[in-house]
Amino acid sequence: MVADNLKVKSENSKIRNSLCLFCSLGCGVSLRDEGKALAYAQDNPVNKGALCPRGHYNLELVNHPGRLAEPQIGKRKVSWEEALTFIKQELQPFRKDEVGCLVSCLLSNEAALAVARTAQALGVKNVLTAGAAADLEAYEGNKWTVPGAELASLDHLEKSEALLIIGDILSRSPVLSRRINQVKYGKRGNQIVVIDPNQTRTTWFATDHLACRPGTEPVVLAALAGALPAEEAAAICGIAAAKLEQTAAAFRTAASGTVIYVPQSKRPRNDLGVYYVKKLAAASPNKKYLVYYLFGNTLGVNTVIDREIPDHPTYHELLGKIERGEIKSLLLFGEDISAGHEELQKKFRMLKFVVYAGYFESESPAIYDNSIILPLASQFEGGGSYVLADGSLAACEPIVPAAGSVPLEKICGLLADCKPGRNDARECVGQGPVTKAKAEAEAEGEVRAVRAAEQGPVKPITYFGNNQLVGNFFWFQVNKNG
Amino acid sequence: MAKRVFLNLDLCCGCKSCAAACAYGHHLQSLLGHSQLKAAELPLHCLHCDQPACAAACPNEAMKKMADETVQRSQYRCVGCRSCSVACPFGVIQPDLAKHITPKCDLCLDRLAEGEIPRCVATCTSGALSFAEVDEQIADRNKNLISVRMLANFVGRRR
Repeated sequence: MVADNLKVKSENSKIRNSLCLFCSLGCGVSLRDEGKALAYAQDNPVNKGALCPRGHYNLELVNHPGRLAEPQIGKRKVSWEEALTFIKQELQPFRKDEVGCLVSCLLSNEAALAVARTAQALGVKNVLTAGAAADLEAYEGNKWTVPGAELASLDHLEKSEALLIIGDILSRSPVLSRRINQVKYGKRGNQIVVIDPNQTRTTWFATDHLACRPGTEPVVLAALAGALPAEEAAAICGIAAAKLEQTAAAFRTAASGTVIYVPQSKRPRNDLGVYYVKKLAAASPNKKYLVYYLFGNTLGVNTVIDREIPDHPTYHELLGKIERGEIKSLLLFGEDISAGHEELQKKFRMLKFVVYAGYFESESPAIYDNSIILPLASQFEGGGSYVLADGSLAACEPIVPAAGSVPLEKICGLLADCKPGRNDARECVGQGPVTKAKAEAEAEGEVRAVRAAEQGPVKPITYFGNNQLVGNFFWFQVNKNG
Repeated sequence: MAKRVFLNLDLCCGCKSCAAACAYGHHLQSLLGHSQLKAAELPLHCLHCDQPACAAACPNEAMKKMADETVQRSQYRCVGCRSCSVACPFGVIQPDLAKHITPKCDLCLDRLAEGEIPRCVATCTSGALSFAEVDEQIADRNKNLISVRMLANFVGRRR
C-alpha cells in the first residue's frame, strides 16, 4: 500500500553490472537509470548485492559534479590539441632519464600494458606502480615462491574449518563478514584466530585473539610456520610459547583452513609476513592463503609492469630520485599518490612538470602550478580486465556513457608523440635547431652558474629593498650579477 | 501483518554500510542513526510501532501513522521541536542539530513500491539485517533477542 506516483520511476530503469575496485575483493556494483542510482542486484556471487560504505562512492565516480570532462592546465580548461602541444613543448627540455612514470593500481591490465608500451616508446625507464606502500611491499613478498602454497577461492574460505586472520580484514573488506559469519556459526568447533595488537571489528568474531606487540606479526607467523623456535618468538612478540604451539597445532590438524593476510602501512616487513603466510599454507594439507590488497588491481598491474619493464626502480628508489632532483618530470596515471600525504608533497614540489591523468582534480596543491590534468575514464566508462585477490580474472564492460573522459589506452596513444629528449636532435619532434640553440643557451647558463659559484654566494635584493619581508617571493628577486 | 527490518546482533560487524546506503537513497542525508557505544556500533532502526509515541507527542501532526502501517514524517509540517526524539522509547530518532532536521526512517517507500527490499537490508554486508514478517520473527524471538557475542564482549571487557 504505497503511493502510486512512486511507481513511475521503475519503468525506465535498467540495471547494469560492473565491478568495484576499492579493494581487491571484487564486489559487483550494479547501477540503474544510467548511473543515477545504485541498484543492489543480488545476483553477484561475491557480494550478493551488498556494498561496504566505501563501495557506495562508486556512485560518485559516475555522476559527481567535480568529475573531470576536459583537460586542464592548472585550473584553466583547454582543448585536447592545446593540451597535447603543451605537453610536447614542456617535455622537450628533459632528458629521458629525467622523466618518471607512475601507474595506479586501480587501472585495468590493458591500461597498464598501454602505459608500459608507451614508456618504452618514449624511452622512459623510471616506471613504477603507485599503490599503497604496504601493498607494494606485500607484493614483493608474494614473488618468493613456496612449493605447495595455493591461493584460496572464496568458496574454500567459506567452507574452511579454521581461519587465521592477520590484521583487520573487516575494516578493509566488510563484505567478507558474511563468509566469516558462515565459518563462525556454520559448524560447531570451527576456529577463527585473529593476530592483531588492537581490539578491532575482526576480533569481535574471533574465537581466539593473539594480541602480539605492534609490528611483530611476521615473527608470530614465523613461529606458527615452524621457522622460528616458539620460545624465541615469545620473547619478541609477547605471546606465551605454549599458546603459539597450541595455535599452530590446532591449525595444522584442522580439516581445511585459510590464512588471510591484510598488509598494513604501519607494520614493518609485510613481505616477510606474506612469505610466512605462504609457508604456513604449504605446511599442511588443504590449507590455502589469501592476501587482501588495498587497491583493486594491485596483482594485475604489478605483474604487467614487472613483465614488460623488468629493471624498473622500487618505490623508495623512485622517491629518492625525485628528492635528489634526478627526476624532474612525472607522468601520473590514475591517481595522485601525494594527495593528503604531506611528506610526498614536499618531494613533489621539486618536480618541474607533471602530467596527471585522473578522475578528479588532484587534492594536492603541490602539483597544481605547472601541471596538466587529463580526464580519465573509470571502469564504468572504459571497462577492462582485473586480477582480484583470489587470483581470478574479472572483466567489466563500459556501462555508462563517458562525458568527455577518455580511456587510458587512448591517452597513451596520444602521448606517444610527446618524447622527451634534450640532447638527441633526431628524437625531437620537428624542433631540432631550436633545441640545439636551447642546449647551447643552457650550457652558457651552466658556465655562468659555475662562475657565480666561484665568486661566492650572491645575496638577492628585491624591488622593495627588504629581503626579509618578500624574500620568499622569488619573482621579485633580482640578481646583482645577472 | 506488515514487514519490518530486524537486526541479528550476532552477525553485525558494525561497518555502517546501512547508513551509507540510506544516505545515498535520501539525498545524502542518512535517516538511520547508530548507537554511540564503542563496544557495539549498531544501527538503530525505527520500529514503526503500532501505537507510536512520537506521533502522540508531535504538536503539529508531522509524525503520522499511515494507512500502510508505517510511521512517516512530513518535512513540511515539522517545526523542529524534537518532541518525537524525547518521546521515542527506543531512541532511534536522532535530530541533526547542525542541519536543523529530524531524520526518521521511511522504510524506503520508493523501493517498496518497486517490490524491492529497503536499501539498508539490501546492502548489509554480514546478513545481520533482514526484512521479514513480524509474526515470523516473534516465533523465533529467542534466536534474535539476546546476542551471545555482544554479551561475551561486554562481560569480557568489564572483567
